[in-house]
Amino acid sequence: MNRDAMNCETVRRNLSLFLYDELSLEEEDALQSHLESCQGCQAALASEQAMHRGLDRLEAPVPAGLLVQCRNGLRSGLREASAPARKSIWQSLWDLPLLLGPALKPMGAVALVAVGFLGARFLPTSVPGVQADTPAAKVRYITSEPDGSVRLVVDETRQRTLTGSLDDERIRGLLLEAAKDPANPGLRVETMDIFCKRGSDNEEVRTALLQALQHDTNVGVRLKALEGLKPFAGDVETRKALARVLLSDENPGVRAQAVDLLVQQKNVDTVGVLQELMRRESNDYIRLRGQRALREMNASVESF
Amino acid sequence: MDETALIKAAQQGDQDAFEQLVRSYDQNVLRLAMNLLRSPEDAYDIYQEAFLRVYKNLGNFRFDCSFHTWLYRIVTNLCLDHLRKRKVRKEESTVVETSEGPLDRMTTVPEERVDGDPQRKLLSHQLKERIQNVLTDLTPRERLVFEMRHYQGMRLRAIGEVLGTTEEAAKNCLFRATQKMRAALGDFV
Repeated sequence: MNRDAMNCETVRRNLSLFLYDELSLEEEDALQSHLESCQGCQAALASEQAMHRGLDRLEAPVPAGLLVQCRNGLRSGLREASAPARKSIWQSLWDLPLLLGPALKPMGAVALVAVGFLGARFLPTSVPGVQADTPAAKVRYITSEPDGSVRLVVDETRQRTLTGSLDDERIRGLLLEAAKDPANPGLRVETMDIFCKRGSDNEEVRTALLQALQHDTNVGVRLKALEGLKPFAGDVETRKALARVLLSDENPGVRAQAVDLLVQQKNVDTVGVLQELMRRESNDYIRLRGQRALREMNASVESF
Repeated sequence: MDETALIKAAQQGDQDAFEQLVRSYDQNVLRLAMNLLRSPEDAYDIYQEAFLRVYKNLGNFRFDCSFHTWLYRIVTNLCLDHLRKRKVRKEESTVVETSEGPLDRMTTVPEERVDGDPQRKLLSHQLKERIQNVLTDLTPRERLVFEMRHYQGMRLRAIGEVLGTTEEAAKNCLFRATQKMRAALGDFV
């Protein structure tokens, strides 16, 4: 496209591609040259820029926590995707000659010897504070080496026992992961229990308790999380979470504990929540607690 | 470890390498899915399906193109399928049913600050409606090209590679998309 071909119509058709920096150098030169001498097209460019800025504002934000949920979901998905094929290393090695076929049986035999030798040599014996058990393993990848041996890449799941306090970042990190393990509610309850007893002053622990209270599908976990949040009953974030749970949790036991915790401190920010509670709650105990708290705060039981 | 080494390690079953690979790209993949589908549930599904496919097919990746291109082919194919199904089901209504009752998907679009001015509030509401209409008017392919260029900042050449077409075809697609946007939103922005 030469410079002379850039009339107003062509310039305006190309303004968007110009802003995306997707014109050829020749087209860009011609367009800029036209713009210098055409006020109408300068105004059109300003309008196009405004539209681009407007579109920038329309990007749908990724909701907080969605990325973490996605990553956790993927971990579970990957576990499921790998699970059916999981065998012990000895079972995998037992199957190896069959997998490789009769012609490669000698290689399989070499592999068995090689892995036995390497296993004895390299598998860790003992690490202070850590007990190593027999690893579960799965053969991932097999290649034949020129010297007749076989090279195996093996996934190993090794159980270890770790001991330490919640001040230990590694221990705390593992517990925070366990608190989100979707496949094991028992583990989540245990984790919440530990957080209740030992983690009262840690910010990460408080966040995990708040998450569990509001999003865990298991009632036992939510009740434990409530117990763990008692020391934080005065802070704003916890009170907001308690209010949400009080008005939306399907379990009356959870709502009862939430109301108890929420009304411990007579705070005007709870009046609206409690009035709303009166409107929608059917459980007598919870209604009674709400009414009493409203009376103590000299507030009306009903909202207007 | 550079990306090639990470991919090779992941191909040989190294789970940590696979996770690192995922983390290099997953935020942008989620942004793309969220912005295209405007539903956290659908974006979640796309994320899971895309990376599980990557996991299952990584052994077949032969470095014929960049990993980014290969991954985005998977993601965009899933998004295109989703958008086309929506078109067929005429599901572009802004209101979706959720466990907490009906939810307007357009509430995920940040509203321009209107500072309580009723006139501006009305305009903002009308703008949302117009955007929803114009998004429905774009073909799934136009929408995808627009999303990748405008919000992901990808060059048209790379978009063409992802979609298995030429840079020129991608440019035409973007051109059509922006023309439709301009026609629908011109007097609002």
